Amino acid sequence: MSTGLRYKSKLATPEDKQDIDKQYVGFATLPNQVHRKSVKKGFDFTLMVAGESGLGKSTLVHSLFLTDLYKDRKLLSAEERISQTVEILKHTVDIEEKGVKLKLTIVDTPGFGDAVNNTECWKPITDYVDQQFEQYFRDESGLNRKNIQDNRVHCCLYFISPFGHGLRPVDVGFMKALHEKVNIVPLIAKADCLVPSEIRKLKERIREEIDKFGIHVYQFPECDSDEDEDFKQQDRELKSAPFAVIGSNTVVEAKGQRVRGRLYPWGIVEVENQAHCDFVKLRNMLIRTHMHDLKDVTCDVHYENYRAHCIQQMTSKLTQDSRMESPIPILPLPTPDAETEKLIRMKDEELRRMQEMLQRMKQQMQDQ
Amino acid sequence: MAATDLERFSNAEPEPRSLSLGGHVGFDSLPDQLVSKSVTQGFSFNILCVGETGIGKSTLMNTLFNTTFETEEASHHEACVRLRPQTYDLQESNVQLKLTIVDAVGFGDQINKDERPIVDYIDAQFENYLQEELKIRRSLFDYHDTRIHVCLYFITPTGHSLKSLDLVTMKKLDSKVNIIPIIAKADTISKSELHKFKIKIMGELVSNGVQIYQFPTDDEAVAEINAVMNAHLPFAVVGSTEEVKVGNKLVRARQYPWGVVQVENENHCDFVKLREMLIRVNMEDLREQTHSRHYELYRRCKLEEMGFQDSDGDSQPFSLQETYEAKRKEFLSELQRKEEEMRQMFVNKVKETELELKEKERELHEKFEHLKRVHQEEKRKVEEKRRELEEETNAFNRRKAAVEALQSQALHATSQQPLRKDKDKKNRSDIGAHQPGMSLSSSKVMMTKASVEPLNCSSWWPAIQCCSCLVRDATWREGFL
Repeated sequence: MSTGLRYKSKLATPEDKQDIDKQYVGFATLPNQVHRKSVKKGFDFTLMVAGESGLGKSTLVHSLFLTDLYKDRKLLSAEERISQTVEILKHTVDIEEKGVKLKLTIVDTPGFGDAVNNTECWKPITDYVDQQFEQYFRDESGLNRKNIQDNRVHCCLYFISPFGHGLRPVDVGFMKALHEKVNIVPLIAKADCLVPSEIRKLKERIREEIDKFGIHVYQFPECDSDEDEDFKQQDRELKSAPFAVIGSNTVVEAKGQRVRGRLYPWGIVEVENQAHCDFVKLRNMLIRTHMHDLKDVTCDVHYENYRAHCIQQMTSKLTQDSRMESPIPILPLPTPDAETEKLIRMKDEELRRMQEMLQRMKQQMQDQ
Repeated sequence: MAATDLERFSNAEPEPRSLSLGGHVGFDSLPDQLVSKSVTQGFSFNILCVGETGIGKSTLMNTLFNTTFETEEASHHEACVRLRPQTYDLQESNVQLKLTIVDAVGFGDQINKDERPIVDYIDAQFENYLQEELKIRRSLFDYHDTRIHVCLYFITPTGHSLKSLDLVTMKKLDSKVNIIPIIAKADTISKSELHKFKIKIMGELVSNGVQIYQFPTDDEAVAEINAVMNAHLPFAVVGSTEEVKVGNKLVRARQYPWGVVQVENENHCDFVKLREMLIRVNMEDLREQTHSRHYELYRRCKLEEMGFQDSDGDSQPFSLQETYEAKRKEFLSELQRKEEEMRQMFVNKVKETELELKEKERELHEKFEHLKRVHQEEKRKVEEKRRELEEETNAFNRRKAAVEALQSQALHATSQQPLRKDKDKKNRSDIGAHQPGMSLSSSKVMMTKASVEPLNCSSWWPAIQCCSCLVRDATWREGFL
């Protein structure tokens, strides 16, 4: 419709042009306005990386964002790691590209899966995610809402070891604990130890196991039919989850070009070569196309689930103990719990009985 | 002469003198005899592979021995570590080898990792051998030796350092078995990283006191090569059973989009070194070390635990059998004593419970008696009350009957008598009626006759009143009778 109008306007006569001006409202410029405003405001994104140590997490983050976030990192020796607990470390950087500012926060989880006894080693991570949700919840319900800091985790890159045959028990435990709270994107790390047929087999294996254990990883949304053809093609290719990635901090010389890669006696692995690994796909998905969608899913789905759960808990506690003060105004429960329903039913029956008695008495009086 | 003889016998054996031979005797063929004997007997070798699931243990075994040992792929979700030994008979140019490969299935997969099953398995093999050795009728030459001769420990190529589980496991195993650490899937580490990684690993092993197997450097024939190889530990290996065409040859290799990793290329990985060391040069030494060092250590610990000593206080060597017998007797007597104790305890307990039960019985009985008595009391009281009630009802009934009778009589009488007298007499009767004894005075005869039944006085006076008039009346005569 709009194309038709535009075409017509080229050949329009002055009278027609006046008509067109009357018909043309002008809200087609909204996307441009949004663009302008968002560039002014800037973006923020919180990315969590999790997986056993030695799988190349920091190298991959370096390759993705082309900045060195981990200066002077201290790696523990094997002895120190026997009974290590999981820490949460946050690194924040401000990066800018073509006028668009991004405040990037990387949440690192050193010590995950490293100890000999890894029971519930994902608990500090779930606690952290819940904490961020809670803080946002309080800020949102507060009085002054102008400057809310959004520290919620938008995406979690989970690194699966390529040396095994699929998911390990600790992988399954972690993903099950976090799949309802965070968008999980599983990755096969250090994919340069797998030949293409092995990669295919492993991906299939992992997809099967994810289905078997009922884990909800981040699904790329189906694109609309009038999106770019490129985008659609890309979308189809993106469905090759989990991505098999290789990261590199070093630039090597290959075929006369300087590329990011790893140098081996038998060849050079290029990180940005689509035939070598899925790094490019991951980067495109994570940064170039779906970054905002990840944020939306976090806000609309995971955060809302948390909020509803939180409020329900609070109000059910309040009905038991009405003396407690609530910092947030109580909202009516959409689904009353079983106890209150029972009470309500009993009261209803009593009322009915009394009404019947009244009626009988009235009748008696009338008879007499 | 006698003195030197004594010297000779009382001291330790004197140093043997070395003499030179006049000609060729021929005992230089002794090693050959040994070799031919062992070749006919056949050799046995046991390898234990320890490493995470999927790290390439089975593939490496296939590559090393250039054959396919059929093993199914293990899953990551085993509940605990179990050891799976599989024995194969191999032959190469008339030398027979009985190869046993023991796989630690499920190692490192559990959330709470456990390495004890491996240690237990190794100890169990030692124990079996020890039992065979201690038997009275034993056949050691025929015995299938299942003791582990070498443990290949597969290290994950993280590039940083050892994992905590690796350290803990190797510490436990180093005194029980020859450990050769290997870096598995080494085609994921570049050369520079590999060098750093190896140094880090060896550093960690040394600083934690883990004793890995050192290739022996005391035999001049192999000392040099062994010394060189010792410096290359741990070996970074790549395994593959697929063949790829490189140049114009078919070699075992892995084909990547960026190149081909050849297994037997020394530049690519240390597979050749491992094969050389493990099979071609030091296999026999590994077996010997297992027997002379690790097994002996185990045996000594075990026997010391059981209470044996090499020599008694007065330096008389004990015979193993005697000590064993003595221990056994002690043990049996201990056992009997314990049994007795337990029986006593049991009997005491039974007695106690019996007493308690008797007490309870008595109490119950008492209660029962008490209740019975109370019940009888109640019953008696109730009976009394009943009787009283009956008496009262009877009295009431009689009075009622009498009143009725008198009423009917009074009706007859009052028709013939003046009412006034009647009334007076009635009044008097009312006043004095309630004293039966006193009212009897005026008409004794009739009273006495009339008092056959204990009648109420108010019913008498009408009768007495009527007596004078009733003489003529027939009814009086009835009453009199």
